[in-house]
Amino acid sequence: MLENLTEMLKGVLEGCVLEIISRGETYGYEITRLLNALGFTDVVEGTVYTILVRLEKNNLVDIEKKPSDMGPPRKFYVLTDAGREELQRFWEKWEFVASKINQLKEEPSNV
Amino acid sequence: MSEFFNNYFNIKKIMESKREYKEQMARVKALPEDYQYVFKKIQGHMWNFAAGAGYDMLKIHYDLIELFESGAAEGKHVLEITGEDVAAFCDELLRSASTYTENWREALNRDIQKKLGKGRDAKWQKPQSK
Repeated sequence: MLENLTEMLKGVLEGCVLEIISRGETYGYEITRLLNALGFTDVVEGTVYTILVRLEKNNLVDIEKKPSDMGPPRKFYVLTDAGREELQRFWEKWEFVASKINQLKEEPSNV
Repeated sequence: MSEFFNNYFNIKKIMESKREYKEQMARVKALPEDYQYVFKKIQGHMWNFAAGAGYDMLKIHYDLIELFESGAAEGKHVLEITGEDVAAFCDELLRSASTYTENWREALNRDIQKKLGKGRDAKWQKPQSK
């Protein structure tokens, strides 16, 4: 993967995490591995963890604790209604930003 | 005001908080040494930014113990969990806490808004061009 994506990813990782959770109940480590497999290899469990803490605080996710094979019980996340709304707003914002930035790149004379 | 008394002069709450702190720190002591070291460094660093009584900060730290416990149970290195930029990890955690820096930011915007008004109500007007 490209290096030093951290700054650029900051605003969009939360949306990515919401999208992953929307596909079905999941937990922090699984989300991290999915993002890594997607190509964001610099994303560590802690990064995802801080996002999950924030989503929980903003009531965008519901949590269920289930026993795990190793260590303490694992927290499983699902989206709340507010979380689903937030995810929709994220994709709207993303479409807007991506299309405008591409426009800037492709048609410099029209800006 | 009642919230102030509830946080600072509530003996029962203070005693309970102390007992819980002891219990939670016992969990930290059970972590591998590297984890303990990083946990304590994070804890110390984050308290520098705490605002108010800090109960929310305690909660964030207690939750963090759980993340570290599962990382340790899976035999991972602590920096695999936090990333090498532990300060950046703390910055992100601090976004979920009340911090004095956040209080100062709010005060700045509040003072200016009080003086100048907000958005359409703003007293500021574009100078008339001739």
